[in-house]
Amino acid sequence: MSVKAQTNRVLLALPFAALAALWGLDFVSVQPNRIMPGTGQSLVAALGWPGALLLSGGVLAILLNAWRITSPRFWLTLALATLLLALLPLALHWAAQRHVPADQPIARIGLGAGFWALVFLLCLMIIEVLQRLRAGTHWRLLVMAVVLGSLFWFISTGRLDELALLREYQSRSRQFGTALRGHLMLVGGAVGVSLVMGFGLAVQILRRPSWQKPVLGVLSFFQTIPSLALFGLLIAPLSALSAQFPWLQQFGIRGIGWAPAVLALIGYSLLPMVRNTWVALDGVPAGVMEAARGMGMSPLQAFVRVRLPLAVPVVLEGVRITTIQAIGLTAVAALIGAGGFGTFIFQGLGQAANELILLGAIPTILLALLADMIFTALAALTAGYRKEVATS
Amino acid sequence: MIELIGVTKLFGGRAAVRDLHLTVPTGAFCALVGTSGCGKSTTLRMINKLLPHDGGQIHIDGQQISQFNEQTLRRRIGYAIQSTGLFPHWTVAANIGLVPNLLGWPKAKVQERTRELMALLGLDEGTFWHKYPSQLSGGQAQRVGVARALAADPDILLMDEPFGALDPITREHLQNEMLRIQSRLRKTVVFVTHDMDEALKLATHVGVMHEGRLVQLASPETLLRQPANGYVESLLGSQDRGLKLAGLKTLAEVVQPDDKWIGTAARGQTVLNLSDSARTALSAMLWSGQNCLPVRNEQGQLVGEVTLDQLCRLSESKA
Ligand SMILES: Nc1ncnc2c1ncn2[C@@H]1O[C@H](COP(=O)(O)OP(=O)(O)OP(=O)(O)O)[C@@H](O)[C@H]1O
Ligand SMILES: [Mg+2]
Repeated sequence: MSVKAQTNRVLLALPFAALAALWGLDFVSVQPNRIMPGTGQSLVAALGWPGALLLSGGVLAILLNAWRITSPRFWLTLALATLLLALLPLALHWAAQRHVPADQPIARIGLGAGFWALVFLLCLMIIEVLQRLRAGTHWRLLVMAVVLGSLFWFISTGRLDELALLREYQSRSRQFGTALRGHLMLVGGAVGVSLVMGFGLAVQILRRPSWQKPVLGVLSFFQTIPSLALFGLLIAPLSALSAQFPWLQQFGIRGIGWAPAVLALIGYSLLPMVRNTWVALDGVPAGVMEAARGMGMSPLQAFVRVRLPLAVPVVLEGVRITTIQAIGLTAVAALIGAGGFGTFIFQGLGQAANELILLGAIPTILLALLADMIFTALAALTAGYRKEVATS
Repeated sequence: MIELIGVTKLFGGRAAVRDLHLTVPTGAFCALVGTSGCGKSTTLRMINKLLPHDGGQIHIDGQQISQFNEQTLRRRIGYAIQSTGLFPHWTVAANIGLVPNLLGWPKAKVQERTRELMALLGLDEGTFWHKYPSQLSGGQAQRVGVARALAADPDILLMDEPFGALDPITREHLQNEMLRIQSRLRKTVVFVTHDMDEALKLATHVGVMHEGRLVQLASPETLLRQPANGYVESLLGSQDRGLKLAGLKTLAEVVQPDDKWIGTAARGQTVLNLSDSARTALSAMLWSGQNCLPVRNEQGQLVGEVTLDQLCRLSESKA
């Protein structure tokens, strides 16, 4: 993991842009209530000089550190960028204390372009450093855990209550819970069903290679249909079905709602699921399988004790991709009344309420990140016997 | 005893093995040699039913293998392959204990047997017990592969180029171990290789295959002295057949140990062992420029000497 000492242009350009954004764009905006447009606040106005200098100083340090950077100093940049990201909730807390008096329970702080630009650029810096260092997944997970942990701590201790985002949440906390549950159930249901179906199909393809082309062909075709169109296409047949058999409606199977959403999500999920599972099962070395059979394992034993465990890390990779994709698509499914965080997004779009859109979008993104973390960690865990190689 | 009687194997109408007759007596070490694609592996795989045969009969200890259940048969037959086929997600110990576990041996007995085998193959228990195959060198992995094949103490051992992908030194080392193990265990072995020297060194019977047929089955010495046709001759390498033959003979077969030598000190630096081959003796003579060298026994006592004349007569004495 040694890196030659040379100036990293990316790590020069990114903090430079971040500084420009911090000082050139509004950091936050202050709104007296939900309806009135906010007034933008520059960095200094938002945080005061100490806060502004602290934040800028951190970014400046990253900028200077990029000059003739070496391996240990890449780690310094990683630490700095992570720390800055983790401290951003504190900056917002300061801004709220300065601008929202306690006697104004409906005044609120909106996030400005400068803030978003900083978040985005810091993320890019972290990605760049992690790539340069060829750091393992556990580092990525650690960075995510630190940043998200800090965010959740500030939220749960009420230090960010004045944020417009959280004001929107407070007035909708019950709907938020319903949306979260709805989102998770749609994703969980679709991923669960497609995992079982995908596994069955993958095993079939493995046993009959001639199935490969037709099966993958049909599934790829599903992927090409735009999500909105697929959701729409399913409305008519399901309405007809439930009109024919009214008892179906008792289970919520109607033209709109969760039924067409889950069907469409399964349609999209099958391709990545089948392909990864098949590649995983097929990728087990022929010699290993020959040995398993040659030593006297039954076909079932050879599958369950050898092929399957060796395939699991790659299968989990498929589940990870599918889950992230489904989390995103489920947001769109709110359009046909399926519930989930998409509800807030489309309400917000209708009311031109930016913060309401964010109330739907941010949890969706966080869910995707969380799923990414969980499945990456699981895959690393189940491939433990391979990791031993790297550390020995 | 393994008997193949007129065995044929077709792959999509093409015969990979044709009307093959082969008998491997109990305790014999039979090497199958031949160029790539001549059907060696296919033959081996038919014996443990990894491939069904399309014609003829295969008998093990007088019973047709079609009468055996596949799994039962395979657990009775050790199997080692070039790619080792070790399970990457199992430790060395778990890999070696595979067949005993399949046979339902009690845990303690499996552990004991695994220890025994690791010792037999020179794998240090403390170092290797918990290692994963990816942490092993090629030679170590092959040892584990052989240990796994021997685990349930099968009477029959099938080995498909088990030392194929190794450097010459490691390979020779493992060949010597194999000789040592075989002299102790006396398994009935079918050993596939495309290295004629390896076959001559290890085998009691060498079967030469060509395009799916068995061209010749003979002892290494007979094979060298009387190759059945030009193909066998070309596999033997016509130029150094003499050396190969010398490689089959140990000095114990040439030198009559005589007690009158005991106690005398060797002249010169080069001293041979009774266990050295005639080939080694020739080489030593070429190197030292002497046509007569002293020989000592296992205890390191001088017991006689060997002359170039004796070595030359060795190759003359045709059977
Ligand atoms: N599963 C299979 N399907 C079709 N043809 C096969 C199959 N296995 C082997 N063959 C063919 O049968 C012939 C003999 O193959 P085999 O593997 O027995 O050769 P080999 O003597 O072991 O060669 P090598 O020294 O390269 O391992 C080859 O022509 C090969 O292409
Ligand atoms: Mg072969």
